[in-house]
Amino acid sequence: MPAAHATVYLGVEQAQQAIFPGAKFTPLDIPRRERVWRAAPGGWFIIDDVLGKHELITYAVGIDTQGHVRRIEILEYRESHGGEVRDATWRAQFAGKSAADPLQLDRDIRNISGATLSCRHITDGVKRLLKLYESELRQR
Amino acid sequence: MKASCGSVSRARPLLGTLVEIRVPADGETQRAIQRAFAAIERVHRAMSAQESTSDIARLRAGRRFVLDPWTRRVLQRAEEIRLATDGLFDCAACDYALDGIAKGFAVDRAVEALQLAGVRAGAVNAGGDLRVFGEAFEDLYVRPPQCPDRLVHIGRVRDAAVATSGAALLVDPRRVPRAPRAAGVTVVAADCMTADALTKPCLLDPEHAQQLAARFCAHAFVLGADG
Repeated sequence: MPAAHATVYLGVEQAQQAIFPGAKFTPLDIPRRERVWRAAPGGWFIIDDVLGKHELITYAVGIDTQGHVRRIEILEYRESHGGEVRDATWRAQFAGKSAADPLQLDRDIRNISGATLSCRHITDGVKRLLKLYESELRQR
Repeated sequence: MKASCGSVSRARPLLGTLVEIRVPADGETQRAIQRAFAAIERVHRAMSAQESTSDIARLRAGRRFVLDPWTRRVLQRAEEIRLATDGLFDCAACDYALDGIAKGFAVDRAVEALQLAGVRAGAVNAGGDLRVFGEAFEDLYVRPPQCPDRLVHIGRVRDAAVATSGAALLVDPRRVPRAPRAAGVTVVAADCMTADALTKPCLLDPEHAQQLAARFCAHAFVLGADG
């Protein structure tokens, strides 16, 4: 299913500085799909993806030295709507746009009311990341 | 940070949804956005029905304590709207859950925080409870709850709040609910707390949605009947 549109909120380095201002980050080599950095002077920065019913969300979590969530930031939100892509009136919104015009929700079709975005998947994801911290990061 | 067409957007998971804040890229955007999210976090802490330390959890437990002044404001507005909608909006029907009004209130407080930080224009969207502010007219789209694959352009607004609700999980405060309720309703109002709250009575009584909304100088768009 092709992505109908995506919104990029923050890059990796921007998210790192937003959650741990002024810190230095060292990537950790662990055989998992999450990407983990150690923050100096202290804490952990993790990037993870969650897949919802209609969307893929990339988010970052900062965990402090006590194992508490410092902050969650959304990096990227991609929505897949097969129905919309097939629908002629939906496609008509993008008439005149080329590959050089990225379909960004923020730029082209913002201000959507009634978008029932659920953050349940992020909540589940954060629980998983806290277990990852307990099992693999805390003792390092 | 991320500049897209002259604006900065950030999103965080709060209030059970993704809350997105967009402001122009010029000026002290990071501090303003930070303060706006802090306001939403305060509403989340005080009015979440899930968090055991929230005002709502303590009210339900019947304990004596000092309410967050913001919770008092939401409760007062909820009562005004209950009286003006003949009881169709009633938080007591859901054991004082403020879900149907607190999200809109949070959007209003976030906009207020942005404006106090000197931001002239922008948008705050909490999963469909949306408010735009500033001089420019902005296009507005609704994703109908009964047909989430579609986007409907409902017009252009300036300095307005818009909220959309679906009937799926709505509790009817009437002892004998009357059919049919609407599948979805969008309300445009001056503030988001009012828009959010009014979607519920309008869903339950779609035939009189316009009149209910007009009592608050708001407009209702009914999106199809349910079943």
